[in-house]
Amino acid sequence: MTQLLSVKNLCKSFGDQLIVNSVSFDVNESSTLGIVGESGSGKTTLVRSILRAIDPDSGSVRYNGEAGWQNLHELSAKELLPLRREVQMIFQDPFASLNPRMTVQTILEEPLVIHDLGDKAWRKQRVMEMLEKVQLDPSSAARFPHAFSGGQRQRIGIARALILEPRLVVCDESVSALDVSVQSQILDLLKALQSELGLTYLFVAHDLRVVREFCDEVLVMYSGNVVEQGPVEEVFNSPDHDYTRLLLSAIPSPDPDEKLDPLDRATLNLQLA
Amino acid sequence: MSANNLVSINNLTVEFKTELGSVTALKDVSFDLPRNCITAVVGESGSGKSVTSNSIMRLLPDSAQTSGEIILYPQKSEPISITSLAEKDPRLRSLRGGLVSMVFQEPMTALSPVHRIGDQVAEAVLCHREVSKEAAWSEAASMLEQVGLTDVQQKMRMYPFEFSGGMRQRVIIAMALICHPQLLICDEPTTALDVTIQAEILVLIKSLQQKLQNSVLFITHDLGVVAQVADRVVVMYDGQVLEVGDVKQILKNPQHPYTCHLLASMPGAERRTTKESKQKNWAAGAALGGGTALATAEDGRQVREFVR
Amino acid sequence: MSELNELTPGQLAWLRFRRHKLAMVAGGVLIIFYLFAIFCEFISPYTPDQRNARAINAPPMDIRFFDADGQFHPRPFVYGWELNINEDTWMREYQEDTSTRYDIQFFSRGEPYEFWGLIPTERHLFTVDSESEGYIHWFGTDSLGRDMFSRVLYGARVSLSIGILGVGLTLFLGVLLGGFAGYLGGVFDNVVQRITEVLQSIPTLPLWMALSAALPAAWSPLATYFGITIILSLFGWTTLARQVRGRFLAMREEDFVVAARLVGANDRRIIFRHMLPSFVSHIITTATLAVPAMILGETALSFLGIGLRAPVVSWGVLLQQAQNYQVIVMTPWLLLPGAFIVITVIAFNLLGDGLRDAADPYSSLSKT
Ligand SMILES: Nc1ncnc2c1ncn2[C@@H]1O[C@H](COP(=O)(O)OP(=O)(O)OP(=O)(O)O)[C@@H](O)[C@H]1O
Ligand SMILES: Nc1ncnc2c1ncn2[C@@H]1O[C@H](COP(=O)(O)OP(=O)(O)OP(=O)(O)O)[C@@H](O)[C@H]1O
Ligand SMILES: [Mg+2]
Ligand SMILES: [Mg+2]
Repeated sequence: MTQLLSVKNLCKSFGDQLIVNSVSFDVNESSTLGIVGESGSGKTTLVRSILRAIDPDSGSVRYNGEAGWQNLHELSAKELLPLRREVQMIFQDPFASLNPRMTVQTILEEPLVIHDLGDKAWRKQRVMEMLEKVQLDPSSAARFPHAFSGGQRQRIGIARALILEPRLVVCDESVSALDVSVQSQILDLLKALQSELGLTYLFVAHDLRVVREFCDEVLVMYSGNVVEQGPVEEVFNSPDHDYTRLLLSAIPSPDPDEKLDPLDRATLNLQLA
Repeated sequence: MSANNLVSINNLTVEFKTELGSVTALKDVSFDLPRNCITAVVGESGSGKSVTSNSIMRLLPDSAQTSGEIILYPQKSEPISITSLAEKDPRLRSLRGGLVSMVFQEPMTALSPVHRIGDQVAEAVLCHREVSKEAAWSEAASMLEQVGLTDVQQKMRMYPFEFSGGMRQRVIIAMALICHPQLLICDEPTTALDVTIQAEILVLIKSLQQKLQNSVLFITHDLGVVAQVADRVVVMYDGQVLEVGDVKQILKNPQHPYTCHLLASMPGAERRTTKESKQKNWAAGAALGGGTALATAEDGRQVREFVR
Repeated sequence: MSELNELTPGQLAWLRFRRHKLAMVAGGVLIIFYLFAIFCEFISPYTPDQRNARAINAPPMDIRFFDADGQFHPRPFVYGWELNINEDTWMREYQEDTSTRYDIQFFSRGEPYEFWGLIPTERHLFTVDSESEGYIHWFGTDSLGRDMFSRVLYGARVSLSIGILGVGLTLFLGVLLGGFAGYLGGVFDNVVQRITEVLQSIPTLPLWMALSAALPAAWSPLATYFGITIILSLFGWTTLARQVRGRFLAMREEDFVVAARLVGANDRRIIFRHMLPSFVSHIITTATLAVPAMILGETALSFLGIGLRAPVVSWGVLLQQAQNYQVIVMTPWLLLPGAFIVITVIAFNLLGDGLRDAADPYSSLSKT
């Protein structure tokens, strides 16, 4: 298997607070790496610094794109442009990440315009296709984001990321606002694209059931550190770190008779090595 | 007469008139929120859950046309017909701040980007109670601790954009809980939280509910959360209420085909067994050019047929 | 539904604008004013400096269809003035001389002029026969016998264009400097910030006066005109720049801007496509409100005699003649330029309201 992304010793602090502490991992092409962890543990900061939406303090992010291995943080803006087409991000907040002054048509068309793909008619066609793929009514293209529900907006964000047919997609909580039925359809879509086009996903999520079903490998973060890393089934079946155990014990069961009873933090060893 | 209901929603229909024609978001929705009870609303994305809760708060944009009725029966005062209150009615203010409070789906829009977190939470206390600034500040601090923030004194001096998604969400939950509302509306309050904090928040909401004997309207997509917090469940689809019932009945013995479909699409136990077959499907689908997505879309269409 | 679906955002904005009846009227008035200003040489019957020795300080004339005997004439006409000196007060008093009718002629020959300084011609929209004794002074004349109507039109050209030009410059400076300061931050931001602070701490009127007094008197009218425009807009941009900077600073961190950056949008695209549009309604309001401020600024300076000077004709220059009490009592029509200023200012304010709503996709169409 070819490696697609290699992150080494990535660090980022805001002020004197170390938010991402020397994180390293590799991702293979056409696989899915799940990132789970405490809220505020630096997952968003981590994936944003991989994409250069944030400048990290140190560490390297190497990406094996069409042009071979490149360190993303050493590229100039011009050299970066073709890579922007290969690497896409779906944002955590579906309300803030859509420009409120643009119609859905303009929002989805923009990546195509920037990368100068196709003519107007083709782009329009493509937008309609994408909307249909994420289960939205194509006639909604002329509407503004405020006229959509949370889950519908999230799907607009997904469509925007997929419209360029990228190779690596960073999904930050990308299906959390969807009902389970639409969610499973979107996950199916992502999976189908993966087997069809060989997409690679970095999948940040809180819903551990989704992670278990959707990801190949998983990375557990706790206060800026990676505390556990490995194939999904392994980590979920025999967790090493106490924080992973805590996480797994806190999954609410859909059976009303099975009461939620997470482990007690006090009894756990949550110290970082 | 509703001795037992805090809110009753009767034949609520909401239509958005936009320049692109009209969108009917709610069609003849009727259900009650009993006192001292947590009611969960589940349903398709875009089925009108947020529109329903925004109607209770009278927060719909001007383009919305509403018919039907929402009546609130507060503990100690006269019933209020929310739908017929005038925009300037003082009762509307007391409704929004005191009687009913809401945790919004979008955390960023509910917080002011230019004020410190601590000031915003303390402000929520000051709006509803006559206390000193210091008292409000310390009350805010203890509430923020209860929703699981650490280093509270330092965090209270930070601005919203410096917070992670989950931390913002907890601030909003704290602001909603701090004024002890008779009805607490939570629109997907825990989707941005990791499961451990989610568990803590659920326990907090539940225990506060038991202490205050109030009602909670809880919108979520996570059926696990529903199972853990709710007493009753309302299932919505395409602007309509399909099914209302006790949590055990809905989750264990669903009546409506859509509810069955929802339970079947849940990620986790049931599907894990079939993961292998599922993966085969995906591969096969890819061979057909993204066919699986279509196959499931077909499912969706069938459900739609059921509903009609 | 499908019909409306086809509308572009521009068409939607037009639909929203049309609901503002007052703004529509204001827009119409301004269009007419600006057309007058553009075609002032052609529309005015005389050149601004042409004197009529037989009508000094003559009051406005009536344009008539019925003559003194009550007879209807299909072609409009005017009567001339008969000058009497009042024996008691020694003042000029004009009386209509109803013995001869002077027909108004359209597209006829009159005083030769060069349209826009380029095309020599002598056609005017309306005149009375220049061969005859007659004259037409719709708005009266001033103390030198110059036609007020013509002068108001020529003045409109200068005053209205100074408004637009000045605001254009203001917007350009404000948006550009403020935008880049907010977006780039760092040293550039610091420099711009300090400059705005210095400029904002100086009281405007005295500085305007000082600067305009410093304009060399030997400058040609055209140079003075541009000098004044620049002076006026030099102070306008600071407020706008501050607002734009503040908004940009906040917006730079917003997810949708980051999202645009991550699909590969360059700085220019982000500023002009993503950040500015959410600011358009504000900019439009500021601009439409700033135009009358500019016009008033020019008027104030010229009125005080330190702005534009004769032979340039602007509304401010015209009002300068109306500075004393005597004028107001004896020849109130010299105040007419003031009326035009008032109408223009009000019209711009109403138009600004309408445009603000039209530029905002969140104001819904169903609202009445
Ligand atoms: N711009 C910033 N300035 C200061 N601190 C920040 C900034 N952005 C993030 N942080 C801090 O970094 C920490 C991690 O934030 P991040 O958004 O990466 O968390 P997360 O793991 O994505 O959490 P969640 O699951 O809640 O979204 C938080 O403590 C937050 O306060
Ligand atoms: N301002 C608006 N203008 C036009 N249509 C709107 C507006 N707000 C909501 N809608 C439409 O109303 C429907 C219901 O929206 P609502 O936000 O209630 O969904 P929801 O059930 O909360 O979904 P989700 O779970 O995705 O948040 C959606 O189809 C949406 O497109
Ligand atoms: Mg995050
Ligand atoms: Mg919603």
